[in-house]
Amino acid sequence: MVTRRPTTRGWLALVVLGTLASSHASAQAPSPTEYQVQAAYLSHFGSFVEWPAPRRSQSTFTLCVLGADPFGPVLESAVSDRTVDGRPMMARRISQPRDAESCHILFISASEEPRLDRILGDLADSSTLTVSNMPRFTVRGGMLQFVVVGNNVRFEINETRALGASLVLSSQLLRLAVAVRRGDD
Amino acid sequence: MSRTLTWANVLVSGIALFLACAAFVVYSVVTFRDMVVRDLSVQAQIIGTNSISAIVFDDAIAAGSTLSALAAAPNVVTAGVYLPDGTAFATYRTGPGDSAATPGLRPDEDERSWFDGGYVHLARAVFLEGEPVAVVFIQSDLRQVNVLLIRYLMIAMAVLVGSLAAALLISSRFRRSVTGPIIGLAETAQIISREKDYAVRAEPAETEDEVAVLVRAFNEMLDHIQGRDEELAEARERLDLSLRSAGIGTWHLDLVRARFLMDDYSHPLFGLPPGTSVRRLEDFIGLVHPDDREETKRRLRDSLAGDAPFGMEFRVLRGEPNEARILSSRGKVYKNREGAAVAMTGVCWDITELKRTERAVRVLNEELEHRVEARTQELEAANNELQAFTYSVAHDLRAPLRHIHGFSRMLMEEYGAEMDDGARGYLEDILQGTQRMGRLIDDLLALGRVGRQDLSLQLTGLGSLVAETLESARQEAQGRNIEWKINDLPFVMCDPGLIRQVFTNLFSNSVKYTGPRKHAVIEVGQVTLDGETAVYVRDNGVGFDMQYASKLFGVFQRLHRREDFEGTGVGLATVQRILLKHGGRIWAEAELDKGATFYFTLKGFGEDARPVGENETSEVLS
Repeated sequence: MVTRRPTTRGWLALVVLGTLASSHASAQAPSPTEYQVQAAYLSHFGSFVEWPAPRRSQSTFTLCVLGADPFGPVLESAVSDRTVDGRPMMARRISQPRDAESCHILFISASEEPRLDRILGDLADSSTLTVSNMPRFTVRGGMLQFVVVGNNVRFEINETRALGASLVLSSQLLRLAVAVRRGDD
Repeated sequence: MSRTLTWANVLVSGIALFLACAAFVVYSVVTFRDMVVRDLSVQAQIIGTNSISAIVFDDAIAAGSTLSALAAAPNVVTAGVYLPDGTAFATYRTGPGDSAATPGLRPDEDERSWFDGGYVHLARAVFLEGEPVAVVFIQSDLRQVNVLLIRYLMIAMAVLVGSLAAALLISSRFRRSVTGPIIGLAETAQIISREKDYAVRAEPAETEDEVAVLVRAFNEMLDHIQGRDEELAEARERLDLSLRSAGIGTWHLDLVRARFLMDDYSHPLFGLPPGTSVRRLEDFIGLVHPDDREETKRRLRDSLAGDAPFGMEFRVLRGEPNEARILSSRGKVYKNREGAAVAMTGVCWDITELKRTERAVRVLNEELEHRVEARTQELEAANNELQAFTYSVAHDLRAPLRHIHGFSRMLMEEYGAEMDDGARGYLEDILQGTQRMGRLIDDLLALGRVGRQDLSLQLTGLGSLVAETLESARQEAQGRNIEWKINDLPFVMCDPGLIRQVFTNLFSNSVKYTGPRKHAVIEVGQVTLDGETAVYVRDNGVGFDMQYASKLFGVFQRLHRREDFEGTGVGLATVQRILLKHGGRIWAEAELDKGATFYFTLKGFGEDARPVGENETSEVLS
């Protein structure tokens, strides 16, 4: 299957349009197409992260969204027909952190910002890659944080937190990160 | 020739080397291209793997920096990462390259490489989780390949030239030790063949190798040839000498070439001047006497067709005036492996004189036979006449003798008393004389009878004959001291009456001539002399002088005086005649005063003779 993705110029156009169309006052409020990109990125992270053995033997690769779902059907189309290590990818919406036990990747919606510390605390023992686009996510203990640089969607990485969760991040992923936090920052 | 060898060597080495180098170069080119492609493939794979994250996370700059690592490969002209739809995500360029090339990959292809326009292109799909996400495309120039190719070619050329030079060098050194002697050998062989001079020898080789062996063998062979030649020449000379001495000529018929050859010694036989050439068989036939030509041709044909050698006598006309000479000829046919006659070699010689001599001898023989017959007839006639004469004379003499004897006796009986001693003495003499004459006549008649009589042969034991004869011999020898030694005597086919006479006569003689002996010994037996059986009668009497032995058996021949020993001189003649009639003979050996031995043989001895069993010992008569 060939995924069709727009060119960089296309991004720009869409972002501009998105911004124009946006009714939100906040400059950080993402446009719907940005969430398409993020959803696509989420579906790709699985190929560049190594989970510990028990999680690897799960029959499916699960992508979960905690809190208000910003993706909608975009997430479904992002994960459809996708595999990681031969395992089919699945998307799930959950409301409680403890439901995230079987999730490989957990996107924490900006709506959960006030409860973030507790959530991260609940997830301390699980090998789940935590991703979010809320600001200061990695500072506060999140592993991967989406950032918009210029016209592109990039990400920051908190490697320490990932290693602490027994997750090994590929150098290829680290290479592309705009910032990598190591040690206690 | 040495150059041929040298260049042959060089050529062979050159071709071998060239082929090797060519194969090597071609192989290098092929593998090098493969290597270049492999290189590119590896590079593409590395770039691909390292670009996956950049592609999926849309980081063209990161992808670009990955591509820039290709700067390490100076042969790479352009490269790029392309999205599946063909658009370029990131590119790399050092030169113009072949801008027309596009990284088109078919859906089932993971990688494709092609050579075009002096460049090599490679496109490789990049996969993430089994799905193609991009295509890496690299374009490289062939400078490196070409450089290497040229380098290889130059090395190959250098090796080739160097090897050829070395081959040339070694070859010319080799020439000395191998080709030198071989060439020498070849030249020697040529000289020998051309000049037919088998005294020439090849020079021995310096080294002890196969060439030396060859040269040695060659020389030895020449030695043999020379030896053979000499033997052949000697043999030919001997043959020539023999033929010449014997006056034999040789001829040779070559059926394959239809030629007839005659040697120089044949020419005189046929009356041809020396040096005449007789080329064909027809010419030869023409030399034969016309009457003998057919026979000669027939015999030749038979001989050629069959296995028997050719041999015949034919006449030729030669000389002035034409004289018919007879020649004898013998020939031997030579056949090839299939059994067909291919040649015939023969001899012929003049037998005219021989024939003449044969004829003369034959004629003489016939003459002789006639003469002998005539003479025999004459002799027989004469003999018969003589016998008749003797017989009639003897008979005719008998009657008057009887008269004389009778009347003398009557005179003695009737008037003896009235006669005086002198008259009586005269009358005694007359009586004795008539008696003697009567005996002589009887003996003569007996002799004649023997001649006339036919033999009546029967198997007789000589022993019994002797026994009978002995009786009367003993009576005759009464009062004498005679020792008789009678040994085994054989059986034989003979006329017993006549042989009895033989024994009678011989015994009588022995008794007579042993008269002077006080103790006479008379022996009878058989003996083998020179392989033939003979019977002997031996006595120790007065013997006789062997000088006169030839006269023993003559009629009226006596070797002793009448005063000493009585006898008519006819006895032994009779005995001889009897034995001659039996096909035997009689002879005697004696020594004066020592005794005599009479031997006789019979024709039946040896065939029917059997030694008799009993052996009578001697008896002494008292």
